[in-house]
Amino acid sequence: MYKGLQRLQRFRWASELYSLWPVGSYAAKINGQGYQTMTDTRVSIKTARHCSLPVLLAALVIMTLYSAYAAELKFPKLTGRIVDTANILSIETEQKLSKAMKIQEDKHSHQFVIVTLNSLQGQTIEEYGNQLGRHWGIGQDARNNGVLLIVAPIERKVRIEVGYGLEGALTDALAGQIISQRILPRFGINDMSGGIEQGAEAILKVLDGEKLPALAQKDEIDLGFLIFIIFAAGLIGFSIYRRSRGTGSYTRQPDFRPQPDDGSYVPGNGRNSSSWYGGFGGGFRGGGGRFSGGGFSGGRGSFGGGGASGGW
Amino acid sequence: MAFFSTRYCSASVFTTLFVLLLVLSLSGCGVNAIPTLEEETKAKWSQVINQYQRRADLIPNLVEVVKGYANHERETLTAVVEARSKVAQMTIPKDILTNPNAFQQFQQNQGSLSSALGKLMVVVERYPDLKANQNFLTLQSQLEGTENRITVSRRDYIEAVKDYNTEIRTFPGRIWAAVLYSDAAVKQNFTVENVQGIATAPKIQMGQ
Repeated sequence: MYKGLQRLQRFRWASELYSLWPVGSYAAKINGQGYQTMTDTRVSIKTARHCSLPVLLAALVIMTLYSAYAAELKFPKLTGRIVDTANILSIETEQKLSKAMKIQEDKHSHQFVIVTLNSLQGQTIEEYGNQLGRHWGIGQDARNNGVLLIVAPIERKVRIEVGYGLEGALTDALAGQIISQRILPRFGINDMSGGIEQGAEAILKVLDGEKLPALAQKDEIDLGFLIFIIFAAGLIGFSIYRRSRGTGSYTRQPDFRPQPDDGSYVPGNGRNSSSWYGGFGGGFRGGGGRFSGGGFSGGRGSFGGGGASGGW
Repeated sequence: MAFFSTRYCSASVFTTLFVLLLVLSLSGCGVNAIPTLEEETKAKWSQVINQYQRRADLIPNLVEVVKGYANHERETLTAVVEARSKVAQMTIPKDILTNPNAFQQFQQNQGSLSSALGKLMVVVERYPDLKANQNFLTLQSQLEGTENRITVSRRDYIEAVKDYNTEIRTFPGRIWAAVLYSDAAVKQNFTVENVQGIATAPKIQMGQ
């Protein structure tokens, strides 16, 4: 806020100076940027005062070109939770994911945005992603709980950019794992939409506080563990069988007794989530509600470079 | 009581009001800009240190894991350990932000650790077993993330110092610096050679 005022003030100083010189005030308008460029402009105009009109015009053109060249990164508009500028996702997938993302945000207030880009404008995906996240302000102010899934199909790069506040939940290692195990395999077989869907679902799971189910890797199945599981399952099954048979007084009912007890912890429709998260969601509903009305906008969260990237 | 003639009194009241008005209007024309921007640079600098510290903390674990698989890369590992201990032993003087030599030294030490780590990460590519190790993969993404955080925090610091230095060197901040903040000095910023240092920092390709 203060910084903004400062800039404004500087701009006013500068434009007052320019208003002494008609061309100058025009120049001030066309490159309304920082003080630095302003100073340059002023110098060039001062020297140009002694020159003829064509030279002055040429200088102006060069200046305009320069300011266009030196312009900062261009960012797509934040049109919703999914900004598909590269046109990768089908409408159905987009709707499905947006819905899941909105439910998540209403529940936990974490803001999750998927963006596909036609160009990284010569930047690395880390650089661009960080600036984009800050520009949009994804995540709630002060909590900085935003996540971006960025896909740049031309540069063949993907990144999960994590806001300060979520670096503990969605660690670099976890983000890297999601990229290498869920997104890149799909991207590798040119299933862009599927990769994004898989990645988004995994991120939503993490934001929901669930553990990611381990992917079965064919070459890494532990035989000993498998045998142990089978053995343990057999043992349990056998004991249940013996119990229900051995003492006739036990009917089926007592075996299922614990369920209602568990259920009492789960408020409302907590069927799918663990009991703890059922409670968590309710607590934060008010915070998230701010963004559910009307269009989607960033909550002024910031990013510090957390997350992971990959290429294919 | 002859002092407090009506004429004298009204003049003094006028003067007091005028001074008060002047003081109030001062806060609107940038008198606070220099301290505010200076605090900003300090905060950003702390973040830089913080992230470098995080990297230094990761290294012992990383070296330990790599040792288990690639013990004959002793030379590369030793280079990393040495560069790390140099960074750890480095005392950061209080005036580092305005002391070019100390700042240069800091940059150099961190830079040599970056390049040692970069070499290690290249060597590691030759060991498929190591690259399949879950511990290593975790450390690798943590290191990658930390390098990226360092880049971000340095960029923020560079921006903050640019704002601060511009303020104390241009009108009207220059006047405030001369009148009120005589201790305001131009702060050191990361130099070009070090920007190149960032470019050669370990870039790890994930999932290939």
